[in-house]
Amino acid sequence: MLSANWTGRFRMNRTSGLLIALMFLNLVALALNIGLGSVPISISDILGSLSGSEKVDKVLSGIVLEFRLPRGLTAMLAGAALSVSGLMMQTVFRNPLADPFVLGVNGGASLGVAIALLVLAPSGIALTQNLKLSGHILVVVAASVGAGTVLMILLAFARRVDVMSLLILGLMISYGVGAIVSILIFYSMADRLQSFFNWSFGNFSSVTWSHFLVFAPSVVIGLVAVAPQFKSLDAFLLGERYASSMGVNVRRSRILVLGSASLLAGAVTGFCGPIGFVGIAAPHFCRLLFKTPSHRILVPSAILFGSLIALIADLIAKAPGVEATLPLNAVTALIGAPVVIAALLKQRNLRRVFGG
Amino acid sequence: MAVLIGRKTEVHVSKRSHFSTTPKWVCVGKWGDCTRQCSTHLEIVLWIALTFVLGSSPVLGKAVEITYAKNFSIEYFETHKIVTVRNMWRGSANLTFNYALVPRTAAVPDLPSGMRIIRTPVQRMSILETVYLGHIKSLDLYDELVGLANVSLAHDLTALEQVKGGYTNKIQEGSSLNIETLLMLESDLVLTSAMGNPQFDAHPQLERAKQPVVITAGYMEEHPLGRSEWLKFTAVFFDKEEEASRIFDKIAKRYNELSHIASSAGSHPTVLANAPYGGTWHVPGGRSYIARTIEDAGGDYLFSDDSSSGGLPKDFESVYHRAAEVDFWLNPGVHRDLEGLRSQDSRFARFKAFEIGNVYNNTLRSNGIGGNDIWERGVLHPEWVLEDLIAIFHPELIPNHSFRFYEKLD
Repeated sequence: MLSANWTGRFRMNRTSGLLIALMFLNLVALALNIGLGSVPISISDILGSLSGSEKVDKVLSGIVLEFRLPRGLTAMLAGAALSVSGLMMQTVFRNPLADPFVLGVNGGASLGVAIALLVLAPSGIALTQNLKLSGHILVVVAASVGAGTVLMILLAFARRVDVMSLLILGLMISYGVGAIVSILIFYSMADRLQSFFNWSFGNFSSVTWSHFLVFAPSVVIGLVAVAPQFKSLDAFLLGERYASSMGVNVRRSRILVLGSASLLAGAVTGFCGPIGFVGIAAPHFCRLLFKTPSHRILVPSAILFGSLIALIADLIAKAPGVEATLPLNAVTALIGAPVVIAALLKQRNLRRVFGG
Repeated sequence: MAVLIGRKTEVHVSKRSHFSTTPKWVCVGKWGDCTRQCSTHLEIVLWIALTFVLGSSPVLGKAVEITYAKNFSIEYFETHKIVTVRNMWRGSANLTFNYALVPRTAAVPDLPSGMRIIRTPVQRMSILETVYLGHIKSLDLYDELVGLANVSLAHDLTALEQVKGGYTNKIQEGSSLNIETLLMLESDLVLTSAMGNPQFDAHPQLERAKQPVVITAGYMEEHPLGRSEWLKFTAVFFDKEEEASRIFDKIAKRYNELSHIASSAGSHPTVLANAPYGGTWHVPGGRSYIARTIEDAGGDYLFSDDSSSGGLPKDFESVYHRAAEVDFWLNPGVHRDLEGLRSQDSRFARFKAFEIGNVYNNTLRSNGIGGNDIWERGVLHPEWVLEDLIAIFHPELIPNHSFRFYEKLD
């Protein structure tokens, strides 16, 4: 009794200590992201820009406020969104390999963007001009519509079938949609493909403040919607039958959880492109570190870890000091893959976590 | 670069060896089919006789001089012309493509190995890039144009009408080359360019299919006039070198006159080009033909210190750092008005060129569905592009100018 209480307190202390450390690391990473870039800017100029000082050169303060700050915040939100989305998918499907894209959300977004860039754009610039939807905004709308459509189909099925069928359904939708995308790619001009491939590399730098007004609320709504579901998520880990015996309305919870997970993944995919590996790697990192299946702890830690991974990946992708950049997706995969391997090797009790 | 003229004697070998050294795929059209399969003595005798009768007559057409283009050369021999293409793509190093142009009435002479044979004058041509349409218009080769790839990127109205009427065939839609249609056309020349990437390049596949494919390297030229001079390259396959020289001389003369006029300008406004996509801004390299045209038009290209001829991927923030106070901004993508440009990325409005309305795009002669004349006649006529740019940077030097390719965004 005493020892249980003691370890419980120790765990609480360890957990809060780790969470505080993660927050601190996030701040450091954000500061580095704002401080480092292809253009060298002195610390006093950066602080001056952030405090709105008039003395700082207009161009330099423009770089800090219009380029680096939105980019850093976008990375944080996107990383958090993908990570939480991945955590929820892994829990609901009780599958350690599930990630935000397994349900075909990514596929749907890709199809939307492929239609916009490869079919609509070549058949007339007039279309984008009349709608005043050009370039980036068009891509965002297309990706959201694509992801949303797939989500609607899935949710319609989510009431009727069990999770395993839903997982397979998602995979099948991914394959089908992927096939259509590859047909579109096959019949497209090289220069149109360039813009599609550019989108598929993923990046945080295209989100300006005006995009941020849409992006940030979508992510925040998606994250807040998870909070009432902590208990249901914990129960899901023990199986749907157990969850319903615990008094969880399984169907309702499943739709709510999948809905917010898809909103999170869809928003990020639309604005930043399909960013891989954060969604699968961050939750494993968290389980490894916090050694708990409780979502009350896992969700906040996933938020912090996802944002930290995204910030670090973007910092590497920016290649500070050099005027060039690396494709973000290559960097996240290079960080993500070793993490998943380490998780598999170290955490032999993975099956236990997923109630296998 | 001077062109070698006159007889070359070192290529003479015995008549018999011609059958063994000629690669199999060389066969072109109906004649080719014969040379590949003929193994009977009778045919050999016939061939020797033909070679004897026709081989000694000199090739028609005068030698042309190549002044600006660095990536091709033409050599003249008694029985044929040899065209050599080099620097086809970045990193192609010492690799060259050699083409022997043999009159279709003459027998194929003995040629060094590795030589691809094209029968001239070409009567049926297929093109895999729309850039050659500029040459076709200028030399009036429409009758010879039987195959056209990427029709939706074409601007030339005559060619598009020929496609509509069915005289010219579509041989490629998107990234998939319709190889069977191309084979049916029995072209005796297929023009394409290559990137050195076997996944995207058409020529390996076409050579396997025994098509008379010829690789061009005009896009790798650093001087706009070098790119334009490739007109002579196309012309040589039709024995129209003299006509091409006349046209090109005028182009070069006008270009040099204009750049002389521009050199008298007192100031050199700074110039930025292109637009970012997916966070990366691919600016033209400092030694690209675009950079050269900007400099010749009396502009100060911001990335002129760079030494590459292709595009440079740059971080948006570093371009903004360098170009925030830029005077002129050229070619910002597909947009034809400032509002559209701003809606793509609100940070564009922070550039000085945007604030003062000095944004120009080369979209004046674009047809809205992918075709743009600047990639056809604009490539052949850099003097027209130059004139537009001078009128943008220094309107006082070219009064009452009517623009050909460029338009001001507002």
